[in-house]
Amino acid sequence: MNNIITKERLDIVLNGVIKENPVLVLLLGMCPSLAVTTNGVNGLGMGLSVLFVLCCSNVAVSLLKNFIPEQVRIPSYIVIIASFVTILGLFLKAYLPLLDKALGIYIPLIVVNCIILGRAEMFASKRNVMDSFMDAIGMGFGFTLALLIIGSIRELLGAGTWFGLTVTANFMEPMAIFMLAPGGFFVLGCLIAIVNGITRYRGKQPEKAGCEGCSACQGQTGEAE
Amino acid sequence: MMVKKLMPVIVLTVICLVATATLVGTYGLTKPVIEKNNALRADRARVEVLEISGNQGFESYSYDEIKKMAKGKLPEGTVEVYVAKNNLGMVITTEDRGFGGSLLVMTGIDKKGRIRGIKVVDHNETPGLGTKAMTKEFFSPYLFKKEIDNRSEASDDVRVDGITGATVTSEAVYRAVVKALTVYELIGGIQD
Repeated sequence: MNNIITKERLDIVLNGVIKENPVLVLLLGMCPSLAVTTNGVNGLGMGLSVLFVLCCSNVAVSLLKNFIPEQVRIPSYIVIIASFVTILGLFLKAYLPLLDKALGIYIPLIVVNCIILGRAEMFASKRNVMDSFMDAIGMGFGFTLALLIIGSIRELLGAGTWFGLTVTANFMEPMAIFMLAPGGFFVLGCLIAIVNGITRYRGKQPEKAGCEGCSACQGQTGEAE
Repeated sequence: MMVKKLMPVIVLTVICLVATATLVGTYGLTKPVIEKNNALRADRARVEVLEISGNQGFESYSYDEIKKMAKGKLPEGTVEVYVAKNNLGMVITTEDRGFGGSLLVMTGIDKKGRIRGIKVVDHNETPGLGTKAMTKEFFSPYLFKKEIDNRSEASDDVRVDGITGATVTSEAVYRAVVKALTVYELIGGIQD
């Protein structure tokens, strides 16, 4: 345990950010990715909120993995996740009220974000605390990065600004559709296509969220979401 | 045997108890800050819609008081009435249904019954479309009018226009402001 940051742990982080990016490769957490990314600030804020909850819940689940009986693990994870989300929500309301207002209902909805429950079930409940924390950092940053990119593109095309600063609004008429739901789908689709193109070009197939160790579907056929 | 069967129940109960305790603590910690924020924001918004109130602050009427003053004719969706302490005007908060749900509008009205400022304080409208009907430019035709009318045949001195692409929001804001003017009339304006 002398070396806290080993190559393997760095791989866990990079895995979440790039190879198994939760939004662009695993296609998890689609709801907030589409709904709150109308501008860069919201995307970043949502990403960091999920990063916080993911880190706390992964560490907590990893610490408690030997105490939680198999039969009640899902309710236990949900209670743990919901507590951290509520704590985050209260602190946002108190200290960042503007961001809280912009993200609205999507803060409490982090509870049902499948990235977080997915990582708790597939990773944190089987690995040690440090690995779980690294996984949370990787996945969280991957999510943040994806939301930041989607939000920036939508803000730039839809409002001609970036993080509130006027960029192209003076010489290019903003396209309001990018601020609406269809714009979110357009941008997300194009980004997924680009990421797929890159992974294919490099001869690497994206790894799918496997079924090993996860029995949530009770043995039904098909892949994890 | 019995203990083994009960174990899941005990563990889940303990987790829930610990979670509850943590949340109670966090709530106690953040509640005063949140309340202070909300009060500050509302105060700032009131000054914004009624600049002539200066910085002497406002006094609120209780709902029962307004109801009595309006003799039971209070329009549905009246939320709050605040009178400036320097007695130069009143800020009335009203509610109406927009495109995405409830829309909360603050209207500042001066002693002569003229609109001095409007602000949408809470809404669920579409960003970039509905929010166009909440800008200073949108509200500028409303200012200094004693009555407003959004029909196209209305005469120029009372006419206020909606905005293309945000019809529902424009109408909701308009109705909320009309309500505020009605409330102002009903409670008999500013009493000296």
